Amino acid sequence: MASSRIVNISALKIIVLISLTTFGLTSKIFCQSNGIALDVDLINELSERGYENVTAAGNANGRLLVIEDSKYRYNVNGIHETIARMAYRLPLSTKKVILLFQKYGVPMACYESVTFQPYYSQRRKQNILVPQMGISNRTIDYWKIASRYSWFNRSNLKLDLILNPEIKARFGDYANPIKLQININPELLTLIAKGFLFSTSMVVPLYNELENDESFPRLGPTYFTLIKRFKEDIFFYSAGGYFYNYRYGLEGGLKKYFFKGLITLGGRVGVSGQAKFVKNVLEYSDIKDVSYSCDVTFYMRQYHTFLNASYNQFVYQDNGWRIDIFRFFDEFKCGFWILVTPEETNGGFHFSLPLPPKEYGARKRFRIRPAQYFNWQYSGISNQYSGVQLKANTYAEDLLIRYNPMYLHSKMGRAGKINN
Amino acid sequence: MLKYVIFVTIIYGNCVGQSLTGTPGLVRIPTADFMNDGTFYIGANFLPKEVMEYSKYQRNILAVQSSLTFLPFLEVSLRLSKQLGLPASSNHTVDRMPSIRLRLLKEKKYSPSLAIGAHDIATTLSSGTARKFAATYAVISKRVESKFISYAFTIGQGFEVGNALYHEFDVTFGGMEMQAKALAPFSFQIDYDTKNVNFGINYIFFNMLHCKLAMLGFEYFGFGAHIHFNLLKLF
Repeated sequence: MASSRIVNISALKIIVLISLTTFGLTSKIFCQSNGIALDVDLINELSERGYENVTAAGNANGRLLVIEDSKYRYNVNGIHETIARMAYRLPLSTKKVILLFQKYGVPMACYESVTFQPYYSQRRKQNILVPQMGISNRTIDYWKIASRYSWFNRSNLKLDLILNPEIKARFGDYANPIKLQININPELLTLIAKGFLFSTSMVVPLYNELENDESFPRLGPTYFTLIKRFKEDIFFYSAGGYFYNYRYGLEGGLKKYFFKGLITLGGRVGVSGQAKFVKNVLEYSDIKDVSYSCDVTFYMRQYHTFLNASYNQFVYQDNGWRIDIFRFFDEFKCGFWILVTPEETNGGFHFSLPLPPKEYGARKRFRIRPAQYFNWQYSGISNQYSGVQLKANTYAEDLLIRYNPMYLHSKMGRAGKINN
Repeated sequence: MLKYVIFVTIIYGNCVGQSLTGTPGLVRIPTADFMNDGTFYIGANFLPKEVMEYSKYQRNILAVQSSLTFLPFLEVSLRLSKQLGLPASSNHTVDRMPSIRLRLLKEKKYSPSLAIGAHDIATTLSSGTARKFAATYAVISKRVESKFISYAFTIGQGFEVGNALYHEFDVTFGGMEMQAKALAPFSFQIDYDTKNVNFGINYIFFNMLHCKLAMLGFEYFGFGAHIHFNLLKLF
């Protein structure tokens, strides 16, 4: 097996050795006279494949790999490929592997090898070690270590133009039982700094049988989002700007994983007002509507199913409980919800349908691609003023589900057989 | 027209078909059979007016329905029923019938499967007048297989629970399905839905398209077609 070419960065050796010892890593793995160095071959391979914010460092006994997957629609595919490509390059003397998956410059999920399984690759005619990964408690520690190395194929200030399809439907009359509105919403998304996103979109109607004032192109959700991760698996997120459902304002929240993502507790509070473009006129109200929620989410590993219960004060100042249960059938997500307020009980279902292609081209400065998923929700009772959530932090909330460390670990296949 | 004809059918196979009610079952009655985890059904049925109390026996019904085995023991369905032949100005769109079924016991070699279910579980009117296909029941099913023939027996008991305009399966119901290897993928079904004895023939095309031709009350024709696929294998 060809060994990886190592480039020495002697200036960082002492800092890294001291840091790793301080954080309690096995001294045998990293504190050897060979030192720690960037694994340039692995970095180049992953960067050329389209992964971003890549860094990989190690020596004959260990590897630390940090990546961001902007290539696959389904992040689990990226994890499988990353583990496979790294496994092919691991020396057989490897004793420790650390994988850290980030998104938008935020460390989302971290895994450490617990043991290794030898495997013979028929295709490459070589013996390899497949790391059996466990969920790590030291995400921030490893993130700080990785931050000292050079990162390659950075994602900052790269632009994605995302084409989002939108369909609204309502029951009509006997001659036309279902009335439709079909829009295409192009969205520009960019990462300004680690965890700091900007998104702006347009709503371009293609077909409309619903409200007449929605028959013209208009500004869509346009907002800044900030996501930060702290120690003890605590996330802070906030958003400000113009959101969905014709609301504008600010919202911030906190989420914490317990038991490595098995349980998530969260809370958020926002303040908003109504803003709607009617032809070329912006009609808006003052920002005065306070909305908040407290929620708990359980993950049922056996069925890749999440159960979420939240108590809310909604945008139109009604209060009530909302319970969601949704399951990932591989990449397809669908679920059911029920809403209970003093005024009404409502319910329905929702799904998230993957849109082709499965894999996107590598991103240089600018990329056009379809949306990853088509999201749709059905309500038993159509009431525009009941149970309306602010929907400001959709990126953060989606990340915290799709990158739930317990969920990703349950999808790791051969590498995830260790259940810690 | 033949009223009472007994067909002995032989089908070999384990595919669970959809009833004309919209849930896995025989001709009209639900069974305790559950589809494999993650199976999604979608299809449409035609129901003749002569057996539809919902339309006051005046209008034929076109029903579009889907079912999902959300968890191995939990199945959810939604059926939209439209009365045909109404004037365009009529104040009618579709009737929505959400249903849920829970499997309590899985079938084993010597014991049947047991499930409970409820149809039309949610309504927009608290008086219940919007519930037109309400049903609450417990049902057991058991397959008996020999070398060439497979029989599936079902018996259930319904209960009137909650306010509703019409209740279905509100007393004892039951039925049987016969399948044989030599005539795969045909199957024959006969059931009693508390009002009529019904007879049906199933055929499965390409292992995923189920077609059913039914004689309801041994007198009126109904038919349906459903396609199924497994979400766990699709993406």
